[in-house]
Parts: sequence; C-alpha cells; structure tokens
Amino acid sequence: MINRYKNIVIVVLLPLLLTGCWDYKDVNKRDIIISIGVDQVDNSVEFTGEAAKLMSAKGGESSMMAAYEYISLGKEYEGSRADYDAEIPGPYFAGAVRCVVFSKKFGAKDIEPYMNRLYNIVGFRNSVLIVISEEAPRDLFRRKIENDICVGYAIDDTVKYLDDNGGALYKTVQEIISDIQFRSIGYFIPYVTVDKGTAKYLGLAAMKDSKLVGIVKNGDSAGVLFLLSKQPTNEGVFASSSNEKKLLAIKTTLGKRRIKTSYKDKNINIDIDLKLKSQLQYEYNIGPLSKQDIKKLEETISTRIKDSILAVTKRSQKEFKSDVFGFARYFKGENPEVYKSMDWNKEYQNAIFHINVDTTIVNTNLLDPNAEKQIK
Amino acid sequence: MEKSLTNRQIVVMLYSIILGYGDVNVPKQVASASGTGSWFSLLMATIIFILISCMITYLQYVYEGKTLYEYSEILVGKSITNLFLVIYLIYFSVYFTMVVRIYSEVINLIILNKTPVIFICLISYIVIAYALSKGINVIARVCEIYVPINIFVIILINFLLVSKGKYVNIMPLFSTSDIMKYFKALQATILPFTGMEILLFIPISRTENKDIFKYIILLIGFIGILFIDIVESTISVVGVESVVFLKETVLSVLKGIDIYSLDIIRRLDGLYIVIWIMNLVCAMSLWSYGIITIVSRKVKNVKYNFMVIIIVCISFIVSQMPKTMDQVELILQYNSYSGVVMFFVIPAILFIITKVKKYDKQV
Amino acid sequence: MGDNMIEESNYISKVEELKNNITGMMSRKLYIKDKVIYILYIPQISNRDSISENIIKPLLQYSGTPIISAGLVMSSIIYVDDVFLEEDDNKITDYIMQGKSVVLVSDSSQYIVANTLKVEKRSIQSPEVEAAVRSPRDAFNENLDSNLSLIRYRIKDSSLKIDYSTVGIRTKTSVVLVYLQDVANSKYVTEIKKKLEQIKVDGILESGYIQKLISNKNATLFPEIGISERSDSACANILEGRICILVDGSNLALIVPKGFVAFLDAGDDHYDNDYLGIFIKFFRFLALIISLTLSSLYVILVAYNPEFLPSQYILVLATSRVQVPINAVTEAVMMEVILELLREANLRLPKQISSSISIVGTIVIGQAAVYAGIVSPLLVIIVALSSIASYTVADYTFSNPIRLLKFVILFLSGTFGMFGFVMGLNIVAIKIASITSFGVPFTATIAPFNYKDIKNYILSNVVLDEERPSFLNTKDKKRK
Repeated sequence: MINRYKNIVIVVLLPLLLTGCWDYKDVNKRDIIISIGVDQVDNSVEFTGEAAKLMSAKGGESSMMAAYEYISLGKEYEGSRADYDAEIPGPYFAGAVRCVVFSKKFGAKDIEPYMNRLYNIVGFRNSVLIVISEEAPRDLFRRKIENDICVGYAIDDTVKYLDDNGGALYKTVQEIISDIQFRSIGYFIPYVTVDKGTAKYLGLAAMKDSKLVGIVKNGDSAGVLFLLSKQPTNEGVFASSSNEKKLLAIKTTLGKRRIKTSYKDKNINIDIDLKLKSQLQYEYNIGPLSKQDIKKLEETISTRIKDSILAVTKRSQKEFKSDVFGFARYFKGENPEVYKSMDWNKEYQNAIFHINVDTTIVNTNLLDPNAEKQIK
Repeated sequence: MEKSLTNRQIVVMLYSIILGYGDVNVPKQVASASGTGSWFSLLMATIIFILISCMITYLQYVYEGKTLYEYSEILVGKSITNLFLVIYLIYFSVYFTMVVRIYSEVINLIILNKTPVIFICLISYIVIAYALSKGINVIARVCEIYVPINIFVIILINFLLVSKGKYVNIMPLFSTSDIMKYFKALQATILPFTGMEILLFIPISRTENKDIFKYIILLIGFIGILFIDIVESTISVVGVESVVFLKETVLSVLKGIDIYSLDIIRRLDGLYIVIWIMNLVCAMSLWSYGIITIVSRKVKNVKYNFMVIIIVCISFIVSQMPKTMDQVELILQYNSYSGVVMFFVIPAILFIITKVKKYDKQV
Repeated sequence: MGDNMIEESNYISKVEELKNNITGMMSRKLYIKDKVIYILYIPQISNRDSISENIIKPLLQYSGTPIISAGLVMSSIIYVDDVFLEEDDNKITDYIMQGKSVVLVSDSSQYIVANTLKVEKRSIQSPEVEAAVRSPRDAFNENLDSNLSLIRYRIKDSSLKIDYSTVGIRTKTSVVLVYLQDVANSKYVTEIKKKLEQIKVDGILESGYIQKLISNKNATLFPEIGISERSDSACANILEGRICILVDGSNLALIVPKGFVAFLDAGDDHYDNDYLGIFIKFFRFLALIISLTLSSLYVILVAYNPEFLPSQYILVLATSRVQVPINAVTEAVMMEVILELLREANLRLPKQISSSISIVGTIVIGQAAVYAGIVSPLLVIIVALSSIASYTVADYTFSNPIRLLKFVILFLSGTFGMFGFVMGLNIVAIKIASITSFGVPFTATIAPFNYKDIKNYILSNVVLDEERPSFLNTKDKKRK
C-alpha cells in the first residue's frame, strides 16, 4: 500500500518542485556592477559608477569587455537606488564590484551609514576596496583609462599592487566596519584620482568618526606605512656622510615592529620599536663605502623614518585629533582595566610617543662598492 | 538485523549532531558573554562536557545493547520512565522542527533570496525522511563518509582565517578581573555543545565498542578545540566588537576576506556553505532518529516507514508555525537551557542509582 | 524395471516417438551380432566426426564376444571418453537436447549417454569491455567449458569448487559457481544457491538475467554484483574470497559480493607501477565526482550564485554567454541529452559508419552549435569533460547509474541552486550507503572504516598485502 501511495506522492510533488525557480537568473541577464561611486549633491545622494557592457562578436569569439557609466539621484540611499532600479534591464548584481569611491564631500559628511549599508547588501563582497577620490565620482568615471578595462579595475589594481609592495594601504569594507565598531579609533582610506588615462594613488585620507579630517600625501606617508602596513617598503636617496655629493639609493623594509602601550602619570605612553632592514640598491656614482659610512647611513635612515613617524603621529594628535593608527587596540589588549575607565579620544591627544628605529644594512645587492681598492 | 555500530561510527555521529547547529553562532554568543577570553570559557565547558559524556557513555556501556528506554525501567520504574521519555520526545521534536526552520531561514537570507522558506523546509524534510527510512546503520555510514570532509574543510578555513587575522585583536587573552564574567559565560556555551544526549538512544555493544570511552573523550576534546579555534580566528580577523554584531559569524567574516593566492577559489564562503548544508541532513536525521526510537517503542504495531512519514509531515507543519526568525531563535535558546536537564540531570539520576544499587557489578 | 526394459518390440516405436518429438534428430541403426543398436543425436550440436570415429567405427569393427549388453558396449567398445549408463526412460529427450548422443542397445535395460557435444563458439579474444594496458588478454567467451578452462589453468588448488546448476525452464542453462571452498564464506554460497533454485523463468540468455534475479530488490539503480570479462580479474576475485558465477552463453562472469571500492579497481593497478596505481585510483574517484557534478556546478555558478567566483571570472562567464538565448539549465540538459544520443548511436552502429558519426558529432555539436549561437563554448567543454570522465571507471556498469543521477542533480540544482545541489548529493550518498550486496555494505571499506583494508586497496601491492579484506568475512584471513 505504501508503495502505491509513494508513487502518487512523488508524481504530485514533482511539478511543485519544477514550477518555481525563484532565484534563477542567468548572469548575462543581470546587471553586473563593476564600481560604485557615492556623492552628496545638495540634499540628495547621487550614485554613479560603471556597469559591465557585454558585447558579443560574431561567431562565438571572445568579446571585448567594456563598461558604461550610470548615474542616479535620490533622497537617501534607498531613493537613489530606486531611481537606479528604474533604468536597468536586469536585476542588480553586486558580486563583481571591485571598488567603491566616495567623493571628498561625501567623506566629510559621514560615511558610517553607507558602510553599514554596504556590509549588509545581499551578494556584495565585503572585501572590496574603499577609496576617496579627489574629484567628484561622476567626473571620475567619465574619464578614459588607457591601461586597464575600466576605472574601477584600474583603481583596484593600482592600489592592490601598491599594497602588495608596501606603498599603500588597501582598506576593505570589513576592515573599516571593524574599525568603526571599535568606536574610539579612526582609520585611513586610500586617496586616488584618475589623471591622464591612468588611476593614480595620491595618498591617504584620515577619517575620524567616519568623517574626512585630513589627507596625508603619498610623499609624506612613509611613517603611516611603517606603522600600519604589513610589508612597508621605502626607497630613498641618501647622501653619504663622508662625501655630500655621493648619492646612494637605499631600499628599506620592515623587519620587526613592536608597539607597547602603558599608562603612566595620567599620560598614555606609546612605545614604538621598529627594526628595519635596508639594502643598498645602487650608488649613483660607484665609489667605496667604508664601515663607518655604512654605520652613519644606518643612523640617517633611522632618523629619517623616525622623523616621518613623529610628524605623522603629531598630525594625528593635533590636526586629525583622532587615533587613526589604531593604537587603542594595543592599549586595550595590554591594559584592559585602565582602558575601560578612560576616554581614549581625549587622552590620545596628550599621548607621549617613544619611537625607536634600528636599521641594519643587510647587503649591498650584488654590488661590491669597495672593489676598486683591491684592484689597486 | 541491524549490526552494531563501530566506534568510529558512533564518534562521527556525535560529531555531526553536536556541530549540527552549534558552530554557526558560537563566536557571537560566546564572545558577547566573555569577550576575548572566550577560549577560557570554552575550555571549561569542554572539560565539563567531557565528564558528562563519560557519564552517559558509562550508562550505555553498563547496559550493553539497551537504550534509555529499557534500563531506566529497571532503575526507576515504568511511570517515571514514561515521564522521561515524554520530556526527551518534546526536546528532540523542538530541536528537529526549529533547527530545520532556522537553517532554511538562513539559507533564504544568504543564497536563495526569493525562494519561499516553506519550499526549502520541504526539500530538507524530504531528504531527511529518505535518510531516516533507511535506518540507523545507513545514517551512520553517511556520517562516516561526510565527517572527515567536514573536519578537513573547517580546519582549512580556520587556518586561512588565521592567516588574515591580527594578533592584537585577540588580546587580552586572559584578564583576571574578568574571571567571573568567564564563568557566567558558561551559560552561553551550552547551546553549541548540545547533542550528545542522542547517545542515550544508541545501543552500544561491549565487544564492538571496547575503547568507546577513549574515543568519546577524544571527540569532545577535539570539538572543544575546534570551537576555540573558530572563535579565536573570527575574533582575530574583525575584533570582538564586530563579532558580537554578526549572526552567522564565520560566514559573514568569510565574505570579507579574499585569499588572492588561491585564485579561482579565493572566495571561500561557497565551500563553507556546501559543507554547512550537508551538515543539516546528517544532524537532523540523528535528531529525528531519537524521536522515531522513542515513538516506535511506544507504538509497536505500526510499520516503520509509515511512522517516518507521519512524523516528518507533523514536523513540517509545526516548523512553519513561528512567524519570525526571532521567535525561532528564542525557542531554541530556551530549549538549550532545558537541555541541561536532558544531558545532565536525567543521566545523573540514573547514574547515581546505578552506582548505589550496584547494578554495574551485577551486569 | 519391466517397463523400462527396451524390448525390441517397443523399441522401434520408442525411436519413432523420439523422432517425432525432437525435430532434426538423426538416428543411425547398426546391426552388431544380432543386436540392434540405435545411435540418436542432433547433428547441429554434435561432433559428427567423433560419433563416426568413436562410436560407429568401433562398433562396426567389433569382433569380440557375441553377448552384447549396454555395459559391455560402454566399457569395451566405444572410444568416447565421457560416457555413462542411464536407466530412466524419460530423460532420453533431455540428454539428446543437451547435445549428447544416446546409444540404445536392444534387450538392454540401460542405455548409454555419450558426450559428443560440439557447438560453434568464438575463439578466445581480447577483452572489449574491461580493457587495460598491462593485463592478460584472454577474455571469457560464450562457452562454459572454455571459460572454466581459463579459470582452472590459473587456479590449480584442489579446494577450488565448481558447483553446477541448471536454470531456466526452456533454455536449461548451466550456471556454475566457482569459489575456493576453504576461503569463501559459505553463507554467500548457500544464499546464492538458494536463490538460483528459486528462479522460475522461461530462459536465461545472459548473465544479466541472473544478476537481476538474485538481487534483493526489484529494480536496482547501482549494481550490487560486478561483472568480469577477463579471466585474470575473475581469478583475482576468487582468490580474495568472492564467488564467481559463470553462465553458459554469456561472456561476462558475475562477481559476488562487490563493493564500491572494488568497482574503482582495475587490474593493472596491481600489475604495474605502484605510485601510478595510487595516483590513478584517486583520479578515478575524482573522475566519478566530476562526471556527476560538473554540469550542475556550471548551472549554479552561472545562474544562482556567480559571486562565488572572483570578479574577472564572472565577467568572462557573462561574456561567453552573451549571445545565447536559452537559459543555462535548458542548455545544459539539452547538451547532455545530445551527448547521450551520440553515445547510444555510437554503440549500435557498424564500425564503418561510427567514425563518420564521431565527425558529425564533433562538427555539429562542437562547432556549429556554438557558431550559431545556441550554446556557449564553455558549456560544450564542460559537457564533453564530464562525459569523458564517466568513461574512466573500470567497471562500466557502475558508470551507468552515474549518468542517470547526473540528470537528477542537474534538475535539483537548476531549481534550488547550491542548496538543491547539496541535497542531490545527499540523496546519492544515502542511496549508495544503503545498498548491501549479500549482507556486505556497499561502502564497505570507507564506512565502516577499516584502515588496513583501505591501505591495502590504495597501495595494491602484492608484496605488502597480507590479509584478505575483512568485510568479506572469509574463513581464511591470511593469504599464504
């Protein structure tokens, strides 16, 4: 008996299963967004960005990918999104977004609500890059890119490459949310522009309470990178101590970084201990280098980095008035009881920094600068 | 007809049922209660649960081949046994219905956004009914095939999470001022560990399962370490303050990291979702096996397959009754508190009676 | 006894009766020293030379004592090696139909049955179903005696037992059980024999009938009984403790009981390079998974959750599908159906035309469909790959259910995405785990897990293999 009913039940259930493919939508029929730009225009929010334009060549050959710009305007995010939904041919697909661009104006207003929105959009990857651009996004996305497919890809590839080599910071949505929810710290966001057909990394924008408070230019950001980046690298030219005219190109990377915090005499003490490894890339004019030269060089490098760090920490205290480096995490980890009873934002402005930088020149590449002496 | 289960099969079944719904919310619940010292609370919870599971195993070992139904009749009499069985029946049924519902809700939120939840529940129940109609031996074999894959993927994902994490986020590891907080957090660790009371309904044979104690201690210890690993790795990536806001913690954190070196599989949450859904069938078949065992002892002359279909239909209807996800979570939370009775109080009573009346020397 | 006595009077009537009942029967009448001797046989299935040389000639040349009885004829006159005396009148028809020659001697209560069977049979040829690189190439053919000789020359143990039985009311096919008596578990033997006795069918034409009739259920999706075409693989299974069933008229022997891991084992893993054997075993398992799941994964990644792929891959996927009007599920199902059509057509065609079919298939499906814009090029690769992967399984009967289940999983993942895919895999896993082949679970060495057996299976090294697989419950555990 049960077998007969089983067959009937299966026959009845089967059409039920086949009638609904509620979530089914082919990827080429979706609207694939590549990059998003957010700006504040008067009282309304403007969404702009790029969406993929799929062109097919004849005969199944691989097609060139291109992107078209979209723009939509509305009150609050939902209004602007509704305006956007009214003009697209397929459902919104956010899984291929490469970067999200904020304008300076929008960054100055408050990006926390939008970050929360981004974190919870369905299908959106929380590992996309966030940047602030010098010009308004609607101008940014109209510019032509020569060395990449579209603006979003160019920005993402440029910042990613620099981050891998220690020249920039790559900030994802998840990292920013994590910083926002810590409450008493600020963070940096990469600051970019599109100029002469390429995306250009200009520096870092400092955010306090998710509002833009200042910009650290690329040339001055060595200090920031040595504090925050995973593998910071700095290439610089130094003059030899014995001969002012002899210039040496030195590449410095981070060996070890230790940050210790403590609370003494009602002041936060932050001890930063860096051990750097340097490598002599080449000499502008080859000449001998004595051991004293090298020692003096190490001190010069240390001083330079130390000054850069000091300068930027001072800026964070005086100008940004916010702990953009995230020292609060270390303090909370090492002195949890003291942290609970203080207001980190206020006390940070009076924090005392002890910075100690040690450099070792580990090798001189494949160059032996003292060879001439031996021949003679 | 049914052969006895090997050590390995019992262990993997326990693993799948404990990790059935446990590992999703572990970081959020434990970190909300005890912050960065969650490893300590979990360690203590592991030790407590090892002791409890030893007690349960001892009971099953002494009365070999019998389940709770039989030997509690010997120990405390028929009427109290019936009371026990009714309590267990309600407990298993609540888990069976509510966990399938909440799994379906989460799947609806993550990957199938427009599909009505009722259809996801329907498909789950059909597959669970199919598994259940085959008997405990088949369920044990399916778990045995599936659990090594689960362990491998979870360890891999934890390892990759740790590679993206920062040590500073999990400091302070232990702060003596918060020690009372860690103990209070034990309450939050009950829900992840529930599931071992199913062992009371699986008959153990002494010849096949000689080293069962060793295996079960190792298993609970391993699960404890796995939980600690999951919690600490998610905290190290996003920090405690973020973890407490995220419901399906591991999944949400996985969405935010991209392991570039793995190229095409750099987005790991797809893999995690596959493993997670497979866990649903294994764990739920075991919960419903508990229900079926109890019901089939009471109602003797109905065919097994027919009973399976009736129970699954009733569970399906009941699982649609709560209207919101919050209600479901609340029910599960209260059920887990009542789980203390299930795996601690009742076995403790039987254990004490066994020891006092020296039944274990007789058998 | 009296009415069995073939008197001369009802002698001729008996022969006439047999002539009427059995079409094509020939009878040779001989007069030897006042006795009338009839030789009855069917020429199509008899060795006529042997009859002339070994029965008729010595009888005609006999010049011994005039007292001729059936016993004397059998023991002193005819040359045929396989003879016996029989008394039962009713069995004469059966013996003649079986191809034996019956010698009736007048005034004798017994008659002689001589085995002069000769049927047309194929010579021993290379295996076609179970091909391998390094392995002996003597395959079974349809003749039971040749098959038995192929097994007997490999296993010269006295405990090799061969049990005959006859199945099929009209075909009376000989079915033979071959096993090692002191190794194989007698439970399997008795169970198979019992099942064979219970079979009541018209005829057994191929071992596939036996396979279906002795299985537990009405219709099985996965094969519980393995097939073997080569004699060395059959002997390897017999040595392990399994039972080999040979059916007269079928060139495929049955191996009972066979589990999941044994289906993925081909002979040359044992004969060839060790490391390559390990690698290829994993490869075969992977190929099984690929053939089952690859099309469904394509559907999921295209239609439901493209966000599991990195951004560039999504765009590549989208651009490859831009000119295709059909949705992904329909496309995948259509391509799979076309591939199944090709496969079936290739089997049935004579050899001369099959090469043109393959060209048609490649051109039509591969190039033209993509060029016309009906399917996307990526899908063609995927479907072809999953089809190739299904050919790597050593025992082809195992890849047949995979072809069917592929469609089930495709439908489920087309309706429910990733969730449906995982549920489909669960259904397949539950189905596989629930099959038992004569009491041995189908997933025997994986679940319940036995480390030694798995190690032996993966290494496949005859040097290290000391014990027989434990799930077969053999009487003799150690290989001597």
